Amino acid sequence: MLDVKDVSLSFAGNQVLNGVDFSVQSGEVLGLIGPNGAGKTSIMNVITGIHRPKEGGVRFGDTSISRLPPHQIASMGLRRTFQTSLLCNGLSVVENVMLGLEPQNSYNIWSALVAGKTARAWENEARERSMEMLEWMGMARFADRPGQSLSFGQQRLVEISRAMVSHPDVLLLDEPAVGLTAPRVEELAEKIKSIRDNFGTSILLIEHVMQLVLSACDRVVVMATGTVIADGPPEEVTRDPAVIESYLGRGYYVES
Amino acid sequence: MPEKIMKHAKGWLNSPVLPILIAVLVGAFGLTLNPYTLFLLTRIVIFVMLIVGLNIMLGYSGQFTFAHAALFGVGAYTTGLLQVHLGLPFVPSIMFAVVLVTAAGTLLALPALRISGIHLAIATLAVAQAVTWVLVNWTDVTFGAGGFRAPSLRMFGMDKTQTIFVVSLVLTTAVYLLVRQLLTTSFGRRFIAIRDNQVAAAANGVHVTRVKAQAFAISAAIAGLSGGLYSSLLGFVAPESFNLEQMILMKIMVVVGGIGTMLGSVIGPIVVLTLQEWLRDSEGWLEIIFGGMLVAFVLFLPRGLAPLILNAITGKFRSQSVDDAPQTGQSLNAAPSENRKDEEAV
Repeated sequence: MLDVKDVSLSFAGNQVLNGVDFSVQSGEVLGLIGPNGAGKTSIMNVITGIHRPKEGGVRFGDTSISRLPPHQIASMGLRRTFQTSLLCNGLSVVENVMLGLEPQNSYNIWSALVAGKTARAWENEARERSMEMLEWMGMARFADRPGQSLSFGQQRLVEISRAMVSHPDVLLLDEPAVGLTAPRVEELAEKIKSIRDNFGTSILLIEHVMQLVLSACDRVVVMATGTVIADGPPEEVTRDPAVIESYLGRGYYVES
Repeated sequence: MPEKIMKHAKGWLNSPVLPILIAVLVGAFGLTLNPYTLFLLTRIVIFVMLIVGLNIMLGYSGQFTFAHAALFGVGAYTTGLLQVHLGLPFVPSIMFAVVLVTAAGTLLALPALRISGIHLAIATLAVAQAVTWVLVNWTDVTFGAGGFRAPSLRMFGMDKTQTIFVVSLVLTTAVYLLVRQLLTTSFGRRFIAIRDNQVAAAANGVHVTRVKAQAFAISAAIAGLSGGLYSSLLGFVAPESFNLEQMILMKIMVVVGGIGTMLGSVIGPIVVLTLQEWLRDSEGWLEIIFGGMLVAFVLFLPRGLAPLILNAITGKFRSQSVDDAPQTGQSLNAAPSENRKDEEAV
């Protein structure tokens, strides 16, 4: 579905990614973990077109996407959220979600200026679909609030709604559990799994909260210093000595 | 019930009826004024149009440019010079000016595709200074620093100020309504999205380059149109009407009125130009007062006067609804506790 092949990236001579190689299978929740500075967010930025890899490439289905601009990659059905929630403050919650439908919007400026038929029809449809998505996320009651009036966790759910409203094939989540307490993390894990089950979306999840990784992911890729050091089922990866050494720490144990 | 009233009031505020009604009243009032006062009123009307356009750039799409006075000037010069040199009538001249300024504005978007913030401000400032330089030095065509006499428009048996007043009022109302409508659609949301966060906008499929070019083009088209009208109002076009000082005055209008609000684009020119007229005799004080105002607004009222006025109108209904329905859980004051509950449910 999504193949990251041999990707290298450097900033000002500093090698950030060094031959990163993994793939996300269709309908899978893949966890991507690793210490700070391992290059997790960088690889997500390469996938979504924010950075261009120095070497290697990314294939989405049959197309190479590593030279495409971000908006084009997004319109192909590959959406993401950010580490710090990036809602638009000038827009209400539902308008933020409507933004996620932009690539499907095709009415022209003349129709927009005079509130013509095509513009109105699309606006109504976009609002309806966005409300449905918010409903599904349990966020519909906040639809008309400004994004910034919501709590951190709520903003995150709106951001996920925005990414999911167009029913993309792949969803990339960058540390969605930051700042959530343990019971909320459990709920988020359920939510992530039900996104996959309901929409058939493949998910790539960057996360430090191991609780979420273990309960949501089918498979885990571990990165350290710009390379992949392990790839496999969660329970196997967490026992890998190299992973324990570089990331989990010797005191780590898995509750079974 | 009060909720209903509030909804009703909001719907009424957003319908085209109110602006048209106000325009008709201003029109009727304006035609009773003496030529000098009407000149001042027309100037405000034209600047409202200009600031509506400038606000798309500064307020809605967050592009910090300094070239607007120059675009306004190119509109005025083109409209005036086509009439003077080629003997074209007013209407085709101003139409050509709009096309030309739109093209120039879209070209100006090119640097904005790569740079933003202070860098964009400097790049566009350079363009603006170059335009002023051309206006002053290309004397064969522009008549240089002394300026030139632009023909005035006269229609329907009205005198020249009345004619340009009526034409400007009709066009400003139309531009106001069209832009307000545009901003409620996907186009408006995209402007706000690239202002608030370009990276997030692009990640959601917004074509940032195209949206920036659109903001520049629309904003420039409005500058061209208002410039053309201004040339006819002034009757005398000279470079100093479009220099950096004028640009700063425009920015003050945007900030005082309310950056990124439609109402602010109307209030800003009214306040600033009225104040300028009052302080006409104390030239030296004007700059000090405007400078002080800009600082004071940025520090204490960064969102300008528009939100204050809007709150004064809608707040009345809001407080009523809170008083009437404290237990329903529907009113706004119940929201914070709901908020907390939902946070738990996340």
